Amino acid sequence: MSDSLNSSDKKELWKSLQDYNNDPESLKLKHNEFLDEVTEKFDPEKISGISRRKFLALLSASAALTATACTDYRDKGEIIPYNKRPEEVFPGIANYYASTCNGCGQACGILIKTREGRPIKIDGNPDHPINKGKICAKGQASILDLYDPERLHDPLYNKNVISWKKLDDEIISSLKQTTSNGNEIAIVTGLISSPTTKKVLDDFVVKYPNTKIYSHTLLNDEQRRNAWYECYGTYDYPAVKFDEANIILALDADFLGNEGSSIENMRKFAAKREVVGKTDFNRLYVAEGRMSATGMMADYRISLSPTKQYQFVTALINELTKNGSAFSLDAAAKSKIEKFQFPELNSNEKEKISHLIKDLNANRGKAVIYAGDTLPKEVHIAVNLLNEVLGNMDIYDYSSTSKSLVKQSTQQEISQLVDSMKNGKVGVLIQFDCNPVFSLPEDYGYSSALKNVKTVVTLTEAENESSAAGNYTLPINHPFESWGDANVRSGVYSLQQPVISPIFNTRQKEAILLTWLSGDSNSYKEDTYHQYLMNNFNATIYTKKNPLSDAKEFWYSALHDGVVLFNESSQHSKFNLAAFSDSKEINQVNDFTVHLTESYFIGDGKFSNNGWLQETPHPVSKVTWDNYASVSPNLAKQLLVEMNDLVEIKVNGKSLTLPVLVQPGAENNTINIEFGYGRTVVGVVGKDVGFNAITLMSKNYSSSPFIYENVSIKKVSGTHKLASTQEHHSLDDTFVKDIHRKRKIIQEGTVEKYKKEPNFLHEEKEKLFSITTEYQYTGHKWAMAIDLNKCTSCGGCVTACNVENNVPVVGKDQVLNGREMQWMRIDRYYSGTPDDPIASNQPMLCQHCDNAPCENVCPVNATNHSPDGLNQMVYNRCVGTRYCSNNCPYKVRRFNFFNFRDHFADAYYENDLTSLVHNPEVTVRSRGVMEKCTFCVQRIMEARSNAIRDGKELKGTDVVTACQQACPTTAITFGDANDPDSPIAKLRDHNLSYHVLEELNVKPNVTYIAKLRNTHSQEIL
Amino acid sequence: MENMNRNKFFTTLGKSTLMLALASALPVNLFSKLSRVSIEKKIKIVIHPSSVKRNNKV
Amino acid sequence: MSTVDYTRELSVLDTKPALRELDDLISKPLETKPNKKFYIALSITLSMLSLLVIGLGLTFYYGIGMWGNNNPVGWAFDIVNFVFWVGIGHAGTLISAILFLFRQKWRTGIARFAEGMTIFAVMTAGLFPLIHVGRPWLAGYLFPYPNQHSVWVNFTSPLLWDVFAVSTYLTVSLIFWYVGLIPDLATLREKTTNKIKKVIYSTFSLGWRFSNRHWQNYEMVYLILAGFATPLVLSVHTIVSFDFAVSIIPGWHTTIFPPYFVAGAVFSGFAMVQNVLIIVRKIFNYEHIITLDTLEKMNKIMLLTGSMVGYAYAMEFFIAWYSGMEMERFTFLNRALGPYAWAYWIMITCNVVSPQLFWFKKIRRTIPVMFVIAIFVNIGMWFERFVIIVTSLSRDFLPSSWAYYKPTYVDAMILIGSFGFFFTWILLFAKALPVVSMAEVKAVVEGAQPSHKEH
Repeated sequence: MSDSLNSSDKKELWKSLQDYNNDPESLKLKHNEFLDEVTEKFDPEKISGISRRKFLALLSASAALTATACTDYRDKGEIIPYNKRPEEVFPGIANYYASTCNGCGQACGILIKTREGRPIKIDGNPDHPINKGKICAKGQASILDLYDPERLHDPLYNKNVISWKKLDDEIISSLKQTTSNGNEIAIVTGLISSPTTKKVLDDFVVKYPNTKIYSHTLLNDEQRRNAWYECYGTYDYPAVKFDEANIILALDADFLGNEGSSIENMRKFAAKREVVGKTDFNRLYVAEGRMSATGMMADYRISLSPTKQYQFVTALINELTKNGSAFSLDAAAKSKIEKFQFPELNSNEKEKISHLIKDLNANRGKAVIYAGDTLPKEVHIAVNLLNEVLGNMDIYDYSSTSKSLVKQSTQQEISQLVDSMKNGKVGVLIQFDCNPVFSLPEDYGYSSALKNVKTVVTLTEAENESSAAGNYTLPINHPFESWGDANVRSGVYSLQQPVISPIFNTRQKEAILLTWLSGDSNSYKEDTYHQYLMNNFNATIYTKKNPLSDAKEFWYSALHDGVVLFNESSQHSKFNLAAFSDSKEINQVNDFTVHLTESYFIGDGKFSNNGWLQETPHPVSKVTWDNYASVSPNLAKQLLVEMNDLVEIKVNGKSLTLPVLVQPGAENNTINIEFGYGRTVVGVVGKDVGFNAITLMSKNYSSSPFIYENVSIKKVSGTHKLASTQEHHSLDDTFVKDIHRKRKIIQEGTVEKYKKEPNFLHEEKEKLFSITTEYQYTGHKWAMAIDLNKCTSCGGCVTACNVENNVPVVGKDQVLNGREMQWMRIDRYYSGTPDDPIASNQPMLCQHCDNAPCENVCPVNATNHSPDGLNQMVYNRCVGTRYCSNNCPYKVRRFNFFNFRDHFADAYYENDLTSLVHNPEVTVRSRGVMEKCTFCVQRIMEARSNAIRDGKELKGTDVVTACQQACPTTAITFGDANDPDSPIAKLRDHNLSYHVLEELNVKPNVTYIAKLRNTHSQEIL
Repeated sequence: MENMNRNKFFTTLGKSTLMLALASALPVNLFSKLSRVSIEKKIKIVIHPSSVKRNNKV
Repeated sequence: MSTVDYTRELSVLDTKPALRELDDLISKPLETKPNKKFYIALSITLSMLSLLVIGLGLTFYYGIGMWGNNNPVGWAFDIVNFVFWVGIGHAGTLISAILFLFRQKWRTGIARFAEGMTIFAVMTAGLFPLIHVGRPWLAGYLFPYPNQHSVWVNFTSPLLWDVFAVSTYLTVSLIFWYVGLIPDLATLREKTTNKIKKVIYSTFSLGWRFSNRHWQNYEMVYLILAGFATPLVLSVHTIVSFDFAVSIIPGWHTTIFPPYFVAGAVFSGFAMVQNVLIIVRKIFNYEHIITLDTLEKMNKIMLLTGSMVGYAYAMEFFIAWYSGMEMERFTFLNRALGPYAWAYWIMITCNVVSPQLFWFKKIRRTIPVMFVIAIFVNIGMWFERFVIIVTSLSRDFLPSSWAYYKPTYVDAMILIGSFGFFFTWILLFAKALPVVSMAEVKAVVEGAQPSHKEH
């Protein structure tokens, strides 16, 4: 209220004429704006406590309460915003932690991606020198094991829950008692790749001197190590520089499949299969009895029984020494070598062998012969000699040797253990995260001997055959909840850190031992092993590396990086010729042989309960949820069996009945079966899946524990349907033969042809024109290229896509009906003859066609095209008429025939734990909805929003799709086709580029780079 | 009142509809025992306190 | 030596009954209580219908996975049944509308019943697009209703054209049929003594007074509606064929489909109508109204359309070979020689071979034989759709996607149940409404149309 009333002022604002004229009456009114009594009676204390604001708040709150009353508040799960946000977590932004994978013994470095504290994806650690940012299918899918609802929650004693303290006390007293009785404490472990775990075991032995450590892994490279020891005096063998070898001869060696450090091998091999730039291809010869993933990549493949490998290698030495030898042979060796000629082969294969000999001669010093882990020691010795003869020593990488921390127990040692057990001389037996009841051949008598051991303790994540046979079952942390380290390659020390606190009442397995070691159950702390690991790290790694920073800082930086590198090169020592001369000769067997190999995705059975891995199709046979006896077409004809028929295989009195798969290219007398299946004590996913090939193994083997002779095989009545994602047609069926070539789905060439006519693929192409105006993509245009030269059908892309996009597992019965839900698949086609097939792999995913045939037939507009070239799928609009899938020529669309989350294995997914594995960026689809590859649109959106936030342009190379990220050979390239400098644009214009079903003019955006086979001819067939 | 029955019928119908509509708005589920069950067995996800993260994925 | 006198117009009815007799005869089933045979028949169809209900219930509860559909065979029994039933509906409209426009008086005995069958067939067919979707509770999305997402349906999609075509067909057929019923309902209104029935007939006969003006308007409306309905006979099944012809799958992507499908529809429709009529005339004693001549004429139409269908099969094959396209050639060879060859040869035998028997007059006029042939024709036509849909999908472009389709018990239940649904409606229709059009038949009795010539 203005007090400056100047009656003669010119007014700008006035309320009435009187006011304007400064009437005294109005002036008086202004002065007393309020009536007389109002201000006097004004008492703030008396005003109701509710302010207007508060009143409105209360009003809305009560309205909200009413509204809530109207909703359905059955607990569908809460989305609770953080009251106090943990420092680590930004909702919506992922964190990455470096760690080490425990899927197999190779200890690849991984990055664990977490969202709101939950691990949701595994990727390779780019800083790790061995796998360089890539991880295999098993590693990718291992995330599901963390969320396995059938994991053990609590310790059990004879199936009853027991507390940790109680069992610690009991076991410590058992250990002490056994020590005082003079009985043995046996610790049976699997493969130990961690030096700190080894230290714990060593410390344990110090404390309890009666302890003996036994190490047994079903899939081991003992044959190779023992051979290396005999030849070079060390068990540690060097890595192979496949990226520098011009000629590679693989003998039953699936080095591109799942043997050894296959991720590294694939990357190195692909380095010499590069079509962008110069074409200096290597040439791969494979001699094997089964058809492996490596065999499918071969330029020349020879069907050879594993029992004939020794003869083959020695015959090669014989032949090649005629042209000189880099290593001088003595008389004994020479006389041995001269005995061997090449095994009986047909003319086709004789021609291949002559090529092989010519090539090996021409590439002395730049070639490598590599034998597989399952072959006997004698073959490895011969192969070492052959490499010496050819002077291939530079191909060995001595800067990185494969170390063995704890040697596998020999057959004698295990037999002795079983004897001790039977005689009651073993007081406590600890099964340390392994499954010997399943993995040891039955004739050891291990499982029956267990009954004679008073205290059998099993440390395991989930119930297995071994824990079921023991008394104490102790649940251990999943690897993502565990500390650890690994040193399986010289110069590489990798660390493992937990990203999540243990979900259940589990403990770190080493910490359990340390508690027993201390003798006091109260000594256990949550970070017992953490401290122990750090101390060991400081004592060994920190002192060795001697960096400038202090121990704590160095430890943190090591955890951050995940890996610490050293220079630990070794030297090539002189070959011990006596190893060869004195070695046993393996004579060829002309009768049936059983060859047992590792499963590509189940491992030795540890992944049996992982639905994603069970459902990933086998790289060669495309079979899921089963193993089988793989036999050649000739053998099948002989036995009068077809696919799915049951056969009974007898080896030395042991028998196994399982279905047959007719495998073109398999050697006629070799029957190949994969391990890891047929587990009986496992969760609902893996129970009774497949057939247990270990029943055919014996502790007494002639040459290799994986190869058996004296085999009889016969057809028995009955069938067992194998759920294969592809139909199997006989290569003799002219009606369907080579359709993939006729329809130009697979276009291939040879290196020779490409050298002479680089443009041979595009000669017959016609330019297709359009009668309508096409949409001009002026911004980004997402496209993908897949280089078929590099695809080994390893399945990493398929699994990565499953994990990233929440693809459900459907189960065997649905796969039998063709309803598998994987967005990406790898098609495998055969051409050639049944005995000598040529296999072609082709990853197939949504092609995001510019003229998509699916888009214009959807009646509800649920699928349409984005302005940046993606074919979009709108899940909430889809009613599920399936017309789009019918009209898709590539058949990449997947329909949710059931609510697969509650259909598979009695709603396996619909529990609080497993549903945590889902990627929150990707919708979980309901029943009746169509889904397909989206080019990882969630990653595109994330990259775009990051670019906007940073004020930068989005570049095509900023986006990495899940499949591209996972592919070990970088066969998949993704990016912006409108960016002329990008790798994808160059690949689209490449001489060897083609599209599948191009003539339909659907304009797919996935470019395939034709495979060039490095044969001597210009034609493929 | 000529069509007493008709009138009675329709008033009864109207009253019962009104009652049903009001009754359906009652928050019965707040008190029911069945909706409690799922709250109990929550899985607690706790980030491990000692883990060291990377800032970005390079 | 033919005894047909072509100088005079053939009489439609065998005898010259009194008009009142016709009325009584045709309305007799409506006035009597259903007898035991009716109840037995109804119980059979109702139990078949219950199979449909159970099958649909299972499907809605669990999902489309209860059927045999898989990847790549996204459509199987569901769409085969849909096309089958829509095809059957075409005979009725052809008889009532097209034959009306061609002034074929012999249609009068069968038009009402055939048109009724059309409506029930289209209703049965209409079930399938709604239930075959993965999320049937959202089937409303198929209809263009304004919504706040500003999303319209996709007008370039043949499935949507189906929505319009089938709903138009159902609507027009219903109106056409109803308009034709009005005079008969009036007749019944006059005849009936039952109070409730009188009210119902009065309401639905819309106050028909049999006056001249009413008749004049009626004839005009009837003519116009016949004109509306006629193009539907050709267009509806053409649209249905576009479901396949507009796609790119070899075996589907062919321009022969519209006429091929329409001919096939008429073919199968007439076979079904003929089957049902043979039963109806026997049960209700309409032998002199639905005469043997009528049946013979229907058989001739079946022979015509059957030959067209056979020709179409041959042409498909020829063009596939002539095109030189490996995929087209393969698709057709695969039909005859591949895993579904059994279905293909059933189709050929039933569709191409069996109607050719109708060249023989004796066969055309023998009731049991023609009945059996018509059943074969229906089986053959069902298999034709099966062969087209399932074989083309199961082996298409990429051999890695090929798979075999096997139906499940739920598929079978729904198929049988659809017949149950259809026949239940027919049985109810037979007892509730006059199956022969009294007004039209009376109009073609000898002497019913006085002309100047006769006096």
